[in-house]
Amino acid sequence: MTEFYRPVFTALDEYLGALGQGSCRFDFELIYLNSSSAKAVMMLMDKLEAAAAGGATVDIYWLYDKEDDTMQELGEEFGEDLEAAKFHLEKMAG
Amino acid sequence: MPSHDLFGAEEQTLASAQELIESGRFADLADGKLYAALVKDYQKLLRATRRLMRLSDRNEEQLNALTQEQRRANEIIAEKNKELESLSKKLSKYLSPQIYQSIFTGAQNVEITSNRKKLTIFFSDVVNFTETTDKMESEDLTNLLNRYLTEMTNIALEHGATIDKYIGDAIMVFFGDPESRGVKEDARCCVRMAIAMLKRLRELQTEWLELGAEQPFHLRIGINTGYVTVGNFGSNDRMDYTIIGSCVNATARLEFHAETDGILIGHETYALVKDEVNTEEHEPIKVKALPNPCAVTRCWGCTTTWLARDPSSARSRTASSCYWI
Repeated sequence: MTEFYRPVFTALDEYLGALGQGSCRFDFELIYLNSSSAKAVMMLMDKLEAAAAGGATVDIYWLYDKEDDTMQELGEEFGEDLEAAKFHLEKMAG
Repeated sequence: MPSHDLFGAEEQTLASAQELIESGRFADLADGKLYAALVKDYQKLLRATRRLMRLSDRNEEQLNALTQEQRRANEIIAEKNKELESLSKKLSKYLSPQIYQSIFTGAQNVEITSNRKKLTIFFSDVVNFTETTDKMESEDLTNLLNRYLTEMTNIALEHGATIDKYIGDAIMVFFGDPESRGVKEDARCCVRMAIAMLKRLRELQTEWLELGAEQPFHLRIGINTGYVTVGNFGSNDRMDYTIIGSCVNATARLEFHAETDGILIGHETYALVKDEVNTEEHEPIKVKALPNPCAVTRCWGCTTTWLARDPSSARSRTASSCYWI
């Protein structure tokens, strides 16, 4: 699992490192999460939150299927931890 | 168990830590900030743990629901399979076992298609069936005919025949498709089958006479080997797996010309079985219905046809124009 997410973390670190005071948007669109992936998502959220706390404008979109209550609830919970980054919980059409 | 019960001890630790921060017991401001940051991290860690636990529970719940759904689907599939199996078993009675097998194993497509193959063809007919059974009640006649066809079919299947069709009391079968043991062995199996049928018929005579038949049953049999077109004929909605060709017509004529309880075989069949059976030459037969005289000549081996009979009789005629088995 770590091997799977490492390139994502590395890419995001590089991107956010160069972002400075700029703005960015990060979309999550998931249909299933196991425990390890949930932890990885929280780590991604931490990185985005840290960038926002550092002055960047960060918008995080959590997109979920309209019939997927689990993803909706998870999005709500993840959003609770964010203070500097702007969190958007959006239901996908169709 | 609600998560606040599971995490009661952690909540208690956090509450105590919070009280400690608020009590102002940290004289050093830096120590206070460090402690507050640790408490915040602990809170975050606890939230993450709770979240992961909830996620794990939800996933397990979904997995259980899916498993149950899958189990119900499997039950429905098993039930449908059982119904289909029963239906296919019923339908299989309308097909020759070899054709049924080749369709159900996927070896053969159910489509209008045909091939040319060298087969050995068999025709049999009960001599004067209508006259013999004229005075029988319909139910008795049905029983008698079904018994006759069942007995003959069993023998045919034992010898590996593909049953093409029943036409009243007449039986048409062939050897060499969809499975073949080689042209020679196919021909031999066919002749052996014919002999076995005649033998069994004699055993059944007594039974049938008791059922009301006024005279014993007698058979005429024709056998011929040659190229025919074999496959599915008809329409896409209704098709028959059968054979067509001049050789088929010729076999029917051989049967027509056979003697009572005799087996008349074509020249090519004779050539394939002659070292196994006793034969006697028969005078040539011309087949009027065939449009092409050349084909008739080839199919019939130019001039000679052969009359076959049960070898147990140990008869071996020496007449110049026919062969008795």
